[in-house]
Amino acid sequence: MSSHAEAPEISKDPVADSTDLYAFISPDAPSTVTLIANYIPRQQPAGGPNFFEFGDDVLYEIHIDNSGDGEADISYQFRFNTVLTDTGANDTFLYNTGQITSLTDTTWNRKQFYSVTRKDKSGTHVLGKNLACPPCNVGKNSIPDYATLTAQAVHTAGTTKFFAGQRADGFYVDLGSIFDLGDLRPFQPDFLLKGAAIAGPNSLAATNVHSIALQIPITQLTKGGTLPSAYTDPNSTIGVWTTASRQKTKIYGNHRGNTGPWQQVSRLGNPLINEVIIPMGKKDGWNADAPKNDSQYSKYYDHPGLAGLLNVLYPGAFPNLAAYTAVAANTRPDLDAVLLTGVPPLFPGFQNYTGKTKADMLRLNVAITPTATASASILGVVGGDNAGFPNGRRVFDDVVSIELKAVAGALLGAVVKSYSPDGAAGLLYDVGGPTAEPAKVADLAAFGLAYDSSFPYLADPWDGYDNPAIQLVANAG
Amino acid sequence: MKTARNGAAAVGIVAVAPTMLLTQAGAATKSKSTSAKAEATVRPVSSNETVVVHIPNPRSGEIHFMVGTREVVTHDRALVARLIRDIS
Repeated sequence: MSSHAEAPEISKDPVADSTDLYAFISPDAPSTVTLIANYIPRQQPAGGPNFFEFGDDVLYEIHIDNSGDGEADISYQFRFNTVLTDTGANDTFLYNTGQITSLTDTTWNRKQFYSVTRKDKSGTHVLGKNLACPPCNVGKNSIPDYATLTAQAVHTAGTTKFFAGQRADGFYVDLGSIFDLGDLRPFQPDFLLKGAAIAGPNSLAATNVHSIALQIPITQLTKGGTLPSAYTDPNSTIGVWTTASRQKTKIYGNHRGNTGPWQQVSRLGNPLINEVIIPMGKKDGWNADAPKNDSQYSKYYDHPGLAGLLNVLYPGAFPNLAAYTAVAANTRPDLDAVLLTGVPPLFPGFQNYTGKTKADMLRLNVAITPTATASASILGVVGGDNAGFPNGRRVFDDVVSIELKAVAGALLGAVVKSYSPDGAAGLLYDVGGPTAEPAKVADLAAFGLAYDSSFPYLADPWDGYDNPAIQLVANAG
Repeated sequence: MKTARNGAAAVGIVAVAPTMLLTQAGAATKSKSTSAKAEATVRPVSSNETVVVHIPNPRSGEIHFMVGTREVVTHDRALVARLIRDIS
């Protein structure tokens, strides 16, 4: 998945597990940037009596580098606090004892609140306290109008909007084909093990996540507080990543609690990096590391395991890639550009280069105007839409297909002029098919995906009544 | 020292009340110098915050004290030796 349970240790700690990070110019408020960090992967909508919630013992952060050194110039910190409405008067075992129609309803027993703090060179600033989260979407009997609760949970402090709570997961991937030895569309019939040409489902359909979302004026994020108007402006690109940290020690039983400094346990910048690029034995260490130290992982970008697998699993389909990767001295400056340094001005109207420092950050050029959602290409820059990944990342971007194409060498010719990309590289895709690749946001509806047109952009969470955790399925065998 | 005994046996971490910690620190000081002055430096503490003591490698004498969101690292071979003797 994008970063859902992508490393051994964090896969056992979903509350602190970042799943996706988005950074884009708000299409309905283009003087602002929207940042969304998702946590707590693969939530089945049906649950009870306990539902999903942020960790009161986790420090969630979204960091911004506006100077190109891979270090945070600005950090937004989020701390959560869970409150029981029923402190013993009723001794209810339930999450809610009646309908929840507002965030202050006493029928809602287990509420969460949060604080937001901004840290920058001028100091530490508390932007909001006791901000209410919405409840999990228990079901239509408990919550007849979830949209109203979403609206109540969008808070404004000055010129910044905040939201923290459950949303529908907007990321999509066919895990079955990717991790069952890379049976990729549209080349399944060419697969070494002779796969059938079947459509790629969204393995995360009808699951929820917990989102932390901010909408901030561009001028509060860029170096010097400027509003760049030219995409070539050296201050036009910001780097973004998210982290989750836990205190170093935890005591169970008597005197239970957490003590010690915060220790980072999860991080996420570009999608699929720790998932696919970083080797299994390094994943936990990568999660605890900082972007500024990412040059140590450079060799895994230069010789990605997936590129080697493509040549084995699809004999003859990628001859130019096979010949290129057969030379040990050949590296992947294309992947370095897209994923580690930002892309220099290679393509018309786009660059997000932040300098020589190799750091995994989502890089957003804030001078590039957003594309209307109806006409946006979910393939982003690869699809000719410079407002999408790898220029930041929008909620609907097909990052799996984009990165499959990139790893297969679709962009390599733009950097290594002597390299001619294989025709097959640009055709690779994941969800969709079996022969037609989704291209527009509207095409994603067939895979259970919808998005909101305003903050926080990810759709209201799937409800538990209409999406039971157990479906009728045939016996395994 | 029961709490310390259990914690240290498992993961090399001991959780102690501040008073007990300073008593141990005082004992370590005393083992360095048996003067009455050292004993007098042990003062009562007002904090009720839990202190977690982590000794990653007893042979090094390195001690990590965790209080709130802080971690203080110090070296005191005598204190480590005393603690290890007490829990052995």
